[in-house]
Amino acid sequence: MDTTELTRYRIGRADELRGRDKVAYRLFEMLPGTLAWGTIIGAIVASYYIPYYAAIFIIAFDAYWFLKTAFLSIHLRKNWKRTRIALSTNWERELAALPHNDLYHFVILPFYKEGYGVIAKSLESLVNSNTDLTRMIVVLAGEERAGAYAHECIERARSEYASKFGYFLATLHPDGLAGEMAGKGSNISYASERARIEILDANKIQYSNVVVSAFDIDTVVYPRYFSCLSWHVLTHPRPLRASFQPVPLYNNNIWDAPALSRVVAFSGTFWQMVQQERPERLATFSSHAIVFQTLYEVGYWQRNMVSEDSRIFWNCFMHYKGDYEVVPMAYPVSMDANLASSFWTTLKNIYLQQRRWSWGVENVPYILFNFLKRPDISFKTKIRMSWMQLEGFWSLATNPILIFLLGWLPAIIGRGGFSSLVLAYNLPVITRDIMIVTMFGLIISAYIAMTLLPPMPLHIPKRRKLGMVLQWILVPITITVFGAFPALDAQTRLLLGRYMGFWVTPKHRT
Amino acid sequence: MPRRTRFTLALVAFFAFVVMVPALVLYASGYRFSSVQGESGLVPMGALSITVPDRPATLFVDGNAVAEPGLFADSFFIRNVYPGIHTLDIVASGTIPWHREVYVMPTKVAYAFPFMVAQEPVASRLTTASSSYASVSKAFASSSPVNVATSSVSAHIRGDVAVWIEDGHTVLVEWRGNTSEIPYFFCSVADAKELCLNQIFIAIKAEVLSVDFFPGRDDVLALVTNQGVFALEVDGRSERSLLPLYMGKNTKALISEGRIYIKNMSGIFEVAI
Repeated sequence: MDTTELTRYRIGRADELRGRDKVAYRLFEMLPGTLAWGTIIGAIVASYYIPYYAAIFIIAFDAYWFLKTAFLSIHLRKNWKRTRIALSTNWERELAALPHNDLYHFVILPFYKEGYGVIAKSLESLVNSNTDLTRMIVVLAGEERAGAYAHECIERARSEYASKFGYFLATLHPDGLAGEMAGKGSNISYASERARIEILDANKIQYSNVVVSAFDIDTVVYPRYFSCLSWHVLTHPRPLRASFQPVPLYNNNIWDAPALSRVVAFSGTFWQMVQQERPERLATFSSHAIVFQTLYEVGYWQRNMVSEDSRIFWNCFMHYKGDYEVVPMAYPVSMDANLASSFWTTLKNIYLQQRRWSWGVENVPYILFNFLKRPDISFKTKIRMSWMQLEGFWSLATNPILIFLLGWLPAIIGRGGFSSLVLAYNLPVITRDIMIVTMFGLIISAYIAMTLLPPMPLHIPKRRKLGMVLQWILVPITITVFGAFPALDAQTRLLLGRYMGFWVTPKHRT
Repeated sequence: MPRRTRFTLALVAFFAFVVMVPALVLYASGYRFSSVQGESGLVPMGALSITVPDRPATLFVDGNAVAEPGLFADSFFIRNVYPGIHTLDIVASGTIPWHREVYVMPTKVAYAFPFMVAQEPVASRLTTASSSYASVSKAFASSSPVNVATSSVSAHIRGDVAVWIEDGHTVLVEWRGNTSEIPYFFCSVADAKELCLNQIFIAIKAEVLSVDFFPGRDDVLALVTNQGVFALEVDGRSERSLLPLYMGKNTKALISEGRIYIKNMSGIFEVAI
């Protein structure tokens, strides 16, 4: 039985399909993990059987890594400059020249069991925005399975904040709806539909005049975020064919988070900043914005999978036959860095969060399968997009392992007299030296990170500033242990059909 | 960033990659710009790896002293060595100086694992108070205390190396492992080509009574002859060292648990190694 067009847009995993479609989708699910493991096992086998060629590959890979790092650093520096300019721009003045009075901002804040302080801080940041709050629709989207706690939070938020916004709606997403996975996607989709009926339709608000900001519950906006977003929407030639992506910072608790957590958080930010300079590679991530009309046409976020934030881009991309893009705003929003009650719990949470993000690899089979079925998207676009996705996930899972763990292998296990070659002795030295030179790029990272930090809270010891610089020497550990390993973990799960559920990152504030 | 700028950057990175990779591979393989006999060019250098078991020791390469190995390292690794014959000398206090001529092949590493013995070998009498006395004296008292290794079948084997007495004056050392992994001491260089043989016949003037591997080494043999006990290096790249461990006739030897014991008319002795 073939899959209908409607189903194709909303597939969560292979077992939702039948027949040949199911087989094809399953094979696509297996592809990223197969490539990653093939590379790692291939590198080990080649190091043993054909160490000379493995050594040449590693040297070439070292050079590639060095140049790629330099290439991406230039992008990072460029985006940092743009972000600084965006932060200092008076967006309200820029907006004044545009017809913006019809525009509504619709903010969804989904929560589960996060502390009320986290919710309040996000709502407070909305209140402090330089925007007309009477044209702001705030939807606080709780989960029924959180029980009485969700009710308490909603009632408290309603009493403290509802009157400050033009429209306020609190929803409780019912547990166990058919065809849904418990998680953010199903929650915010449910809340959006409720808001459509109870606010937009009830007040005859045009869908195309509403810009939806889908946030995490810890998303704190900078005062000019909505003005900046409005400007981008209003100046875009076709805002209904675009999503709008801010730069995710993890500044809310950055001074309290341990060094490993800070490095991982900033690495995530930097990656997004690099991607902002390569919009053709940019997909929506975490907090993002989209015009309600578009969101409604594609049926909201997918309810049956984990990575709804990036999938919404692909849903739109497929729905509009490839005529869809992500607009980089180069303007930040701030969220929480990983922080738990103990150091080890923090490390565990970092790993689990990175694995959840790496589970974005579930988009690969979705993309490839839809490309297979879509003759109305150009072959060139399909190849380019497929390559970018596969290369991206492959790099994430394998590159740090190849660089930091396998670079020495031919010299150690290579057979056939390889150990008697000068090459065998020089390989680890060359790899090490290239890595050291590459690590100098971290000086740029340290500098940029310092400029993006919020003011240091009074309770933080001054020596933490030094830690903010020195922390970057942890990068080889973080990109391997909290980058490659969780990515490989996620890809292996997808390869084996052990699908992941939505893991809510615990929010902890000191 | 404008797409055109990014494309230009990518193009520059691509060309840098195309230039870097061959340059790095050549560099890592040992190629260096150098002048040899007035001609400048890319020379495929070799390297020397010398493991020095006794420290402090000073290594001389072609008569020039090389710095001592570090506190925790027992190896000298010397890069950028011109291909050709080089002399190695190691001097360590209280030991017999070690000398060898090695041929360094282009882009390859020449190994040396010097074997050094005390200038005045010491053998201490094993007394009944020693914990090993009982087992050693029992071994010597048995009808065949030592496997003298007189054939391929009764050969002593360490890893993939076997040794036995081919006849009274010839010791045969055999490589039984993968040909591609044959150790350096089975190889020599002739006409700038490396030649490795999996069997080495070593002629000994004195009559060899028994043979075994020297404790901890597969490239050094312990020979018991009718004149005493000797250590013999298998490495034959220049004249082999035959170094006395104990001189005396009517001697039996036993190698057990990393120690060498000898027995003669006056008792059982442990040789200091």
